[in-house]
Amino acid sequence: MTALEVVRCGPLAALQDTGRPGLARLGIPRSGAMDPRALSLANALVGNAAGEAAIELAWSAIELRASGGPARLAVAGAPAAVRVGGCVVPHHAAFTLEEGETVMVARADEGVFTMLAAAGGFDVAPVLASRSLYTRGGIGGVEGRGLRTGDTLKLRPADRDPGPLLRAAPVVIDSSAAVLRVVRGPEHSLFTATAYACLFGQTYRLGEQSDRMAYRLSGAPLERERMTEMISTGTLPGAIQVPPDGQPLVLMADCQTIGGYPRIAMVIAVDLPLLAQCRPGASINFTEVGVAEAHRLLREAASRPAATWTWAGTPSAEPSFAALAQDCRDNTVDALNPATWA
Amino acid sequence: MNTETNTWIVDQYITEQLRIAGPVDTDDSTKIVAAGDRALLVDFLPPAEPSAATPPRAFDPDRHARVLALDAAVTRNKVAGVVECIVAYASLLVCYDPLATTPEALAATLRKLLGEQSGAGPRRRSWRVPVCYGGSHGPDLAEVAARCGSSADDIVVMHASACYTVAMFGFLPGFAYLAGLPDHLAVPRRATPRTRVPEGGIGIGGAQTAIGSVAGPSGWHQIGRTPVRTFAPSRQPVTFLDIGDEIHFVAIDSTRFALMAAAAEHGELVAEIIS
Repeated sequence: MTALEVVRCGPLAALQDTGRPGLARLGIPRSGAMDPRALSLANALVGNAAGEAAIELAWSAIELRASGGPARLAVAGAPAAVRVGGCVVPHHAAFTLEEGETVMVARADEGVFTMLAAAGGFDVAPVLASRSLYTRGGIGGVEGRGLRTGDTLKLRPADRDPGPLLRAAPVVIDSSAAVLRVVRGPEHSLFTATAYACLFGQTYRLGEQSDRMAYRLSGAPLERERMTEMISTGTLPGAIQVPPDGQPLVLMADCQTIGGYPRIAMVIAVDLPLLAQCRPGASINFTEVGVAEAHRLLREAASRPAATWTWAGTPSAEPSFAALAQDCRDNTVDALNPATWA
Repeated sequence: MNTETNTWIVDQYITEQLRIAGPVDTDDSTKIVAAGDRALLVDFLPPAEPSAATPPRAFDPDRHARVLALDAAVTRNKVAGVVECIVAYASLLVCYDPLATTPEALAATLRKLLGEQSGAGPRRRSWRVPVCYGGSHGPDLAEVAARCGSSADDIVVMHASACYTVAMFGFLPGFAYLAGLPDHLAVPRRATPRTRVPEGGIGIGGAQTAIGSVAGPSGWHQIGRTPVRTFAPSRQPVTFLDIGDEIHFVAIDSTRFALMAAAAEHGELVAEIIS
């Protein structure tokens, strides 16, 4: 059986799929890929179903070796240098890793989340119908944790003909700035009109203390009309919560299911991945749209299947990497240090 | 910005409310509002004129019962496009797939279900949950006793003799918020939250009490700990409690706790079903 051995790996590498919708009533968050577009694209490139689990690298590098047979792989999302031996593999392209060969994915050059999909998918038992790692609950991923050096990830046989080599048009990822479209939040009336206008009139800075649960923003504080305690309600990723200090935070994939801070606005579904790919220090601006417009944008994105952004073709150098893989074995190239990759 | 301008801005927002925020549908007792582009929030409103005898409070059994009834009706009727519902004290968040339904159609269906709600909720069960109070398992018991002006023993008796209802899950998987804390036991949250409370912590935070699930941070006072795992990924079902279930605590000593915790470690429930 084909497997991918983790030769080396950065600290934040884990399996993620489309998560666990349906369990929020039990306090179990959705989780899933922070950039679902990258997940479906990486899967499309290797012929998997869009929601198959892939390795999510959060600004982390990884080095994997194929054993027991060749593996067909693709990388999408935050652009990161990918090499098999000394050969550069283009981003957003499927490639074959022959048995014994090693692929190295560097830390992303732009953005945060890079997805690596393998044809057939990872043969890891799902927990509560998903392979997504949810660290706080110790569920999903590999035995409830992220990937570690020494792990062996078995692959399921690919049941679809991968077809010709595919490449996809690059998706522009900007990790330094984003303009996010939001709809008004259910508790917006608890804020002063000035605060509501202020949300759209200033540029926020994305804070260091951001993770898969929430992205923290800093800017001029948003003032509430009155400091009444709110009765906690169900909540979802995209909610812009404002705690008493007036500094908003945006709930992300691993967010809590119940929240007690008022939501001034909610980031629309299609724009949440743009925020996910921003790095601390990024400039964030908000602009308001209606729910109907948010839905139109979502339908537009959904009607654009991965296949139309991809084209069949043969990369200029057909990946045949075995001869150059010696570099990796000799350790002259460090997967975790792109500077050694020249 | 002067007051007049402020008022004008507020008026503008109200005028644009429908255009921007989608359906807003209010009657005397419920309000349905858009909560982003993938959910509607059904808010169950407090009585219009709360009398002095019934001040507004976080937990209102009547409103909570209506939340559960709507939740059950949505499930029973398999409402098209609904992904999931999140039950809270006085609201139901109805998450939908915008590619499968529209908020307008969903709001109309919810309004119809609210209109025909019968009292027949899901079957409720009653559980006996063992708790080791005080000592290393309940480091804040003495402080709670001091704040309430009672002895630690009295606090334990009061906490264990009340009948609780699982009002909702949240914060962490299987973290069960319980309704029914005796008023006397309400104490404000700790000034400094603990960074890590072990699994199964029994805490008091304001007028709320809860059964902790997995280990995590907490600003609540920890008065005890149960060997019962409300969330165990390797066990089926992963969470055994359901919203609406009744909880009766039984005080146990630390020896018994250790035995039961070992059994729970091996996948045993260790909570007892009463009915």
